[in-house]
Amino acid sequence: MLRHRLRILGIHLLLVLPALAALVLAGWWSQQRVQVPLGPQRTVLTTNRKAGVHTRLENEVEPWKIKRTLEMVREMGTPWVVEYFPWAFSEARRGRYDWSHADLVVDHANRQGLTVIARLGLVPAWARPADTTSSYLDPEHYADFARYAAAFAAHFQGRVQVIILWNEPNLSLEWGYRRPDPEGYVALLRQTATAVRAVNPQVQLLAGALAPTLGDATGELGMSDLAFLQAMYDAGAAPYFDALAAHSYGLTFPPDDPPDAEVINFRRVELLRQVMVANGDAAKPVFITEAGWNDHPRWTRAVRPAQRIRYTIEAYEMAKQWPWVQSLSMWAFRYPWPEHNVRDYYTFVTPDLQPKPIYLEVQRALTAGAGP
Amino acid sequence: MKRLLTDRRWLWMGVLGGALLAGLVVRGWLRPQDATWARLQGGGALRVALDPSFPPFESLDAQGQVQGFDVDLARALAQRLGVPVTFRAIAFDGLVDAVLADKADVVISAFPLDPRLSQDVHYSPPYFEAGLIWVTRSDSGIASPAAFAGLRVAVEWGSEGDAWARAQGLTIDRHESAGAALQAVAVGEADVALVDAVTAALDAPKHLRLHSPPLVSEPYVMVVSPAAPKLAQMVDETLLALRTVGVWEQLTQRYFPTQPPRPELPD
Repeated sequence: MLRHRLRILGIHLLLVLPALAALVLAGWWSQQRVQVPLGPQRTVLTTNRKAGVHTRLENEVEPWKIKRTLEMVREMGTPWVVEYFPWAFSEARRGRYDWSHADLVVDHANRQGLTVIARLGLVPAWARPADTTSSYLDPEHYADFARYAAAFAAHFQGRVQVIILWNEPNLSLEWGYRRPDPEGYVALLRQTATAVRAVNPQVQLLAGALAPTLGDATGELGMSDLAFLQAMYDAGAAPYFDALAAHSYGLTFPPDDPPDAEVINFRRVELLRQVMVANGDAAKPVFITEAGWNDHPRWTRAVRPAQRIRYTIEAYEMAKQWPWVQSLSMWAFRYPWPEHNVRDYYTFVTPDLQPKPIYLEVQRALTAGAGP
Repeated sequence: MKRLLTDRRWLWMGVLGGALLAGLVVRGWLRPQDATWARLQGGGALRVALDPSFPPFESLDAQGQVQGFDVDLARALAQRLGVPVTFRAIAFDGLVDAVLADKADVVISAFPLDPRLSQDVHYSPPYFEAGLIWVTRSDSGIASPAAFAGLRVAVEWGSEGDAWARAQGLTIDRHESAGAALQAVAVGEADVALVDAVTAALDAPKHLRLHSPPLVSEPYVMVVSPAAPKLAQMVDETLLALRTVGVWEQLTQRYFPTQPPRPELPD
């Protein structure tokens, strides 16, 4: 009887073991397949050390595309790269961090000689009530965000030197569809900056990343970026950030259109700078982490493709002349897939990594006669 | 005994078959009805969503009324369906959501087909081809894009035509606008222009020829909610019927000085 059972067991093992071995082999092979070597250390050749782009690699799943995207950023002559590292992706479960994708992006960027500006945001479901959007964060969860930001800063110590805390808090849609709240944002900033500096004092913390907006009459949907920044200072924000992140879109105006509090244009960033100076913060630099022009054929706030090329190159040149600007990163280098809307017309490279004419023209402008 | 087993087998097969048949009948009964089509049949108006910011397809006249190619096409469609029509101005990015949220019945708004959404909405057959085309003088003798090598190719700087020409390694003559690129061909400074079909049909001088098929296709389609399958079917059939009876030619002649390329229909 025992012999019979052993024989049956043996037959089963004979059938199951090859299948298990095949599974293990398939897993190993798939790991081998997706690994992309970092390659040799590269240097960005450029005539403008302030030039940058905002990539959108957080949804790019193919490692070779991450690498190729960042190679193309380097080849365009832009040493700075702003990238989004969603909290919900890295800490999908409270207290369990998964940095695998973020590591991939940061390591490839560094190997290409790029300096990463990390934008942190996107609240995981566990840190907010049901039926809220991913930009909603209650004060009782500020500490969770601070802990995540500190964990990020610790993990990437020496690899990421600049971190943006939150995005466009002066817009209701970026503040959980609630009324923009400068005091609330400063409370978040205070907790987060304290936690981050405790683990990584070298990292440069950027606040604001304010949306250029005139605000609406009720203040429900959006608050003027200028008023929001002043309210941040009034709420005691100054000690909790090392530099200001600013968004500076040109819409239909050329880059040299003069700044005006009632107009959204590229030089509006000078007005933000005035607020900083007026509040005794002149020593802090400004990082323009989103900017650019759009060449959609039907959007009323777009320009012609030729204008977009010219304005973009001129804007990079203007930033070079502004001593208080540390870097200018244009929105947005590439999306992983076509959006089939106006957003596609901000990009420099197609989803399948083909350079658009604007890429080639900017590359020519930034790399002609360049040295490392 | 054997006979009994055989009989039972037949009995079970009969029961299973009957259950399957009953299931199919019930499924047919439970299939959601097209409430949109029922409303139209009850005298309701066809609610057309559009973003009136893209002439000559849709824009607002001095009185704030919608006008344009798509507006006339929507009226022709509604007339053929035997229903009144109303228009709802919605920003372009919100058009698909408008039909999915039952704020409109159909999008007719120079809407380029987005394959990513083909599981979420119903697309009509294309009614306009807006993609990248090539334009020559009528007497040029250039037979196909294969003959572009060595020719002077006029494009709008930074445009899709520019990108296409660069990718082909062609000799590029860059201009500030698509209209200027067409003009360069008209006066003999360039041999061929690569521009989008809408601009070509609007701006090409009379002695230029618009070629098809497009180098890069961008068909405009109508969008209907998948919750309105009967309406979707009627839109498709009516659109094809309008094409057959010459409405497409009438509309293109009304809004475009030069006849644009006819959109290719799927097999």
